[in-house]
Amino acid sequence: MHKPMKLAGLLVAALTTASALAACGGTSSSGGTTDDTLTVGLQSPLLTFDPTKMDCATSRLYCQATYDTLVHLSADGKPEPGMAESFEYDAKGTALTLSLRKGITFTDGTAFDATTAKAALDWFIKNGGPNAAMSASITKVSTEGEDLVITLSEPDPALLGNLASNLGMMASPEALRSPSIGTEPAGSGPYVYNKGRSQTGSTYFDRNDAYWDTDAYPFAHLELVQLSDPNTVLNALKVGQIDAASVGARELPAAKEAGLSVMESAGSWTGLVLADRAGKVQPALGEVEVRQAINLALDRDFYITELVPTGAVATDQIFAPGGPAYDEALDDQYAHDVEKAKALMAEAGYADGFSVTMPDLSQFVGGPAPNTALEQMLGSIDIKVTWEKVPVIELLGAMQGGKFAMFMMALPTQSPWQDIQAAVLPEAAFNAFHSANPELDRLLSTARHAAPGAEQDTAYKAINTWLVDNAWFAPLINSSTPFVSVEGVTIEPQVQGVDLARYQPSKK
Amino acid sequence: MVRLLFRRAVAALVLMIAVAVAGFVITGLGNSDPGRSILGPQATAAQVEAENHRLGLDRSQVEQFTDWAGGVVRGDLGRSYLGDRPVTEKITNYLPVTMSLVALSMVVIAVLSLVLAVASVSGRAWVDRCVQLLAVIGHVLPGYLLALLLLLLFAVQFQLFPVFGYTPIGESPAQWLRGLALPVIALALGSVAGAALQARGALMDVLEADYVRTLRSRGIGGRSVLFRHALRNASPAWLTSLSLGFVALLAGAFMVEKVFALPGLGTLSVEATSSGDRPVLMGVVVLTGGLVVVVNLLVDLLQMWLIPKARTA
Amino acid sequence: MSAEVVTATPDLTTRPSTLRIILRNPLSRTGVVLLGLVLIALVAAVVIDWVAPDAAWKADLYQLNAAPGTDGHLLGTDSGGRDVLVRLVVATRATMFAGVIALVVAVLLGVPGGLISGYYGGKVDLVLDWLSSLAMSLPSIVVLLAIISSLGTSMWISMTTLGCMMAPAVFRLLRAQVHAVRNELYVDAARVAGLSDARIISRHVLRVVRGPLVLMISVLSGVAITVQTGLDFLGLGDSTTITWGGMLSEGFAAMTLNRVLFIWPGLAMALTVAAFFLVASGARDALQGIDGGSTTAPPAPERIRLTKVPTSQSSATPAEDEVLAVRGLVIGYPSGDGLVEVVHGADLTLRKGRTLGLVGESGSGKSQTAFAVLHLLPRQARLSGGEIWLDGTDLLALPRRERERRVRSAIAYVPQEPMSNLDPTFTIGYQLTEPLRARGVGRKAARERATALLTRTGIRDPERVMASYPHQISGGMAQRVLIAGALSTDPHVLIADEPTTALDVTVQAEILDLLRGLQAEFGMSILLVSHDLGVIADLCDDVAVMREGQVVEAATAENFFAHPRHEYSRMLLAAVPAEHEVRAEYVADRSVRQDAAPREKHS
Repeated sequence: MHKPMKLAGLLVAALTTASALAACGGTSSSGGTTDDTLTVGLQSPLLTFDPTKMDCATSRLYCQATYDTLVHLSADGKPEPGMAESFEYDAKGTALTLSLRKGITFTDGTAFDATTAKAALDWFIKNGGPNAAMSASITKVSTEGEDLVITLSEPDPALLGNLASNLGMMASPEALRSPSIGTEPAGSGPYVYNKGRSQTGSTYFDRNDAYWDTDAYPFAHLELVQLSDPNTVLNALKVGQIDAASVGARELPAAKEAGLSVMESAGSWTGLVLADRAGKVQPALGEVEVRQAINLALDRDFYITELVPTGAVATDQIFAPGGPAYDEALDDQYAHDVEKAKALMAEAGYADGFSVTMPDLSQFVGGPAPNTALEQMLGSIDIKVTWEKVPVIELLGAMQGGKFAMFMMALPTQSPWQDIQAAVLPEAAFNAFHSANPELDRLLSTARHAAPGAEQDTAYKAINTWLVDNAWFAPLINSSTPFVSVEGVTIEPQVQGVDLARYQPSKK
Repeated sequence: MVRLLFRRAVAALVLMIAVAVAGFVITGLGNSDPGRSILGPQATAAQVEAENHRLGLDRSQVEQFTDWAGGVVRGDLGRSYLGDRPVTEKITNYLPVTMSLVALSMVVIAVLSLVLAVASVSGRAWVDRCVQLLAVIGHVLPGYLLALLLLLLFAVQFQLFPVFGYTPIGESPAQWLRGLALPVIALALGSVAGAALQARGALMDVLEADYVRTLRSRGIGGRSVLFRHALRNASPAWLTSLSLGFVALLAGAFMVEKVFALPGLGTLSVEATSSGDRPVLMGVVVLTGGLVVVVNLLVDLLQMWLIPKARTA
Repeated sequence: MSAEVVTATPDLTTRPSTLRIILRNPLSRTGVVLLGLVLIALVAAVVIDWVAPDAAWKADLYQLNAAPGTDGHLLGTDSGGRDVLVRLVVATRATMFAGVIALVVAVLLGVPGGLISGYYGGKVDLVLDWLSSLAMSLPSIVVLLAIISSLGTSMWISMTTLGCMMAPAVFRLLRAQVHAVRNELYVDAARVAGLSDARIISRHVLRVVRGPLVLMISVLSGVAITVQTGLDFLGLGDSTTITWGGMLSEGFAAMTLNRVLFIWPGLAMALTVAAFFLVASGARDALQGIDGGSTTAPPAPERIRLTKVPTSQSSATPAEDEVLAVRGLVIGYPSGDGLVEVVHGADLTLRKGRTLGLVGESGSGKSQTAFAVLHLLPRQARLSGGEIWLDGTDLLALPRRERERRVRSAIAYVPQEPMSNLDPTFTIGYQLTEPLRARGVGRKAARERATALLTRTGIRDPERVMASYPHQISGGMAQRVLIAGALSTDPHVLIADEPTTALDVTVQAEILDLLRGLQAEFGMSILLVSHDLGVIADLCDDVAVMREGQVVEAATAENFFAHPRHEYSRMLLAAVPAEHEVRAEYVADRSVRQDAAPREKHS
């Protein structure tokens, strides 16, 4: 009889220990920031601190915490002074002169000046790696007194944006040349990497008190945690283990239900890239009527109501709604009209429709429903879709390499020129068949050489109109990316993505 | 005895070499284009070719293998395609989590299975039913499902344990244990029953052995017979099931890590798998294979220490 | 005697079929029912595929994530607006198929490999065994990830890989089983009869291994299904077909929108694996029941309940010189629904300073009687009647603890097989001193006494023997050690169970001499259990003959050998051609007879 008693006693003891353990740390995990550390959950891991190799599209906060950039972007997406106090193009738009802020030193003690800036840029141009395209238009970097001059082969409307990203990230030249740049950065960003308190999956920073604008970064410490599973992100937010993160559309209702604050940042367009505009793989897509018919067959309002109930607008444009290239009037051009679409199909000689194979992206676009919706909508004009499952590793290559005549895609909407670089230029990654058109070329050239501001915006709108008329794409929606934060942390809105400076303590 | 040890060590070494070869072969079966995956779709063909050349991928497979194997011998597992960091650095970053998880689970399994087995052969029917129930649960409910249920209940609902994350033991042993408690339960529960059944079976066999009857005829008490004689003689079966369990734990850890977002080898390997990071995968194969070989060797040694007859085998 | 008690030896020929035994266990019955459900789902999946091939893809975009029961969707709809139940049923096929791929590969590699390796041994065995340990050194999940990274997520590839990784388990099982039966008598006989190896393997060897193989396969199929879903969970599954794993990972992804979605495939998977597991364990239990091995049966928790039965002899206190008296002893074992009796009212009397020989064939119950006296019956045994008087006290009337104390202080035991009666993991010295230390003797004194006893039993180098492990000494020496061990507790009764049968003829004589000398020296009474009439004649003063659980004759040795009264005694004596001179032949003869009769020593 005494043995089960003993065993039971042992069990009780074990359980007590467990609950004691649980209790001893239980207080810190109850909602809201209680300290001066900002903890943000991020999808992507920190792979390296090498500024040429970092992916600042997905790892923006790692980049911005560590490295300051020559140019900053304002909340509405306008270039602002950063490490360069001012910057100015020449009349032709092929030379940019930047006058640099004084008194900045890198964390390894090296002073920042025109020489070190030139060294950093030259290093980038030489070792561009995955971001090499950012410096493609640069022919020369030179110093002019205390100023820095960047000379271009032709006007590059994306240059200022790039100078706010990898291209403009300034690191100590000595650190850049060191083989340990990947783990021991020497930048001049608002935060300093704390290797000792960092561990795998969690990168810890302390505020850089020498930073020139410490007021913009009120948190004394920053912890960036890699969380790849959306459920974990939501749970961690719910229990307050992290302070902020972006969540998927699927998690948004639950986040709102849990009482978390949500900031919906302008995000991305989702829809079809009708890539084979010359009809190489699928002759039907070579006909503009067919491409227009596809646009007409899409019931965008249905798609929004049933599939993306929050944070999205219906649109047939690839540019950010409200942005310089966007034209509200264009959104009515392809109102859902199956009869008209069928007529166009018949006109092009495809009254009986055709079959097309598209890559299955259900795991990226929010489950199986979008596939079904497209299937049914295209089916209404007798286009039969077959989904092909492509391994994740090969997916981008397959889509960009011209394997599919058309495919579904979700692309971030950035500045108009960045969008054009991503999907419209002949060499653009998502111009899979390198489609080109003399009329479009002319419009692109106009935009490239136009003076920034109203003139350039008009040029962008012209490009947009041409793209919609010729139905290069068949967008469905533009959806926001929800950023969620716990009580005590506010994320301020920003036109494209969310910079580190937008994370602020809530005002009491 | 010394010769036997030497033979075992040599056999383990040969096995390690074979593991390394196997790792190289299976990760290289497909046609991958690391240069393209590193530089991205926008890079030109010439850039990709240059990158592949820089990585030495334009050489023959044999040349690549000897180069890599030479590195492995010197403790250099090459450089990861992602982020261009040394594989050893990556693995040392991710290893502690998995090792803590597996080691702690091993301890839990060893202790619990022994306690249950002893209680079971001491004629406690309820323990038997308990073990049987555990066996069914362990077999039917994969670790990751159990982990998910534990997470939802104890971490999200009651907020007793963290939802994710790992605290190094050097930083705070209590937090370390707290962070690992749920994953370890999820991981260990399934294997406890298996090891307990093995230990119980072996104990039952030993307790029916002739020498146990003879010991009892000399007036050696049931407790001495059980703890001093039977446990020792039953240990080989139990140890073997533990060493087999170690391999199973590694696999389970990979899944459980995902549920609790623990930065361990599983996270690293899955990441490497979906991005085609061959050097990291080869490193993981060599490391885990090596671990299994070492654990088996240790179990052999332990058996030789416990069972004198094994020393002459 | 109660009515349930079956007074017959167990009839091994009319055992129930394995299936019937499986069905008798409620848990395995549940397993069979679940398995039936899976089969029905499988058939339904095929029918659906035939009748309405796109039923599982038919989506209602107006009803995403509908709750169970909505609009005829019994289990609701998923995040794509598709009926969960239909998908669950359709997924059965691909999920089972994935399991089948892995199993077929594992069996195709493991079975022939194991058969060849176990049957032929030698270099083939070395190579195959090494390959299997290589595969076992690689955690299968790591190999799967590596393969997926280089060849993609196709279910065919990953399940084939898994099959390869499971093959060593099948291989090892087969190899061990085949190795065990290879040298069995009937295989030898078949070989002598000129059967080809292939025929021997298929006719004899496969028949033996198919039971364990089926068990292993059902366990591995559970593993295969779990691994397949696990890959899906890691996001590395094959999503071209509908599987439970795919549905599960979809459920995880949509968990915040549809809390119950992951439960259905999880449940389907868990119940299927449970079905395999329950049926497998039922089958295992059934097969072990048939083998008659009680080794893994759970111990009987009930205490022995004594029911005094009237005995033929007077139950009065035995006479002064009757050191040990057994009256009407009844021993039974639970079997199936009833109790099988092996001893039916045995009577024995051992007088002071004398040697009683207990004779009988294997299975006559003589060892059981001896163990009952020694209080060493197996746990399952039921002492359902009788008295055991030791020094004028009925042991069975005493509390357990007191009975144990009295028996241990008065009676010692010398077993039959010297080697198996020494713990292989402790030195001889330890095993000899342990009982003394347990009785409170100091370490040094215990060692001295053990050494003295070893010397007394004729061991010339006691120090060396004390330091040795059992596998380092010979059988004869081991028997001397055991006798020394028996003497160490100062017993006045010695029970020797066939103390010489396992020894060489020359050593036998020495041991008998030793026993005789010790009896004279220590004045012990000896109960000698043996079927060897030569030994009995050599050593005993009295003889008792047992047959089928009863003592049929008790007499002095003189009378027994001169005028055997019972027919059976006469038969026994007649079977021995002449006495001492032919003992060697008699021993050889014995082995044949023992094979014919069910073995006794393990029961």
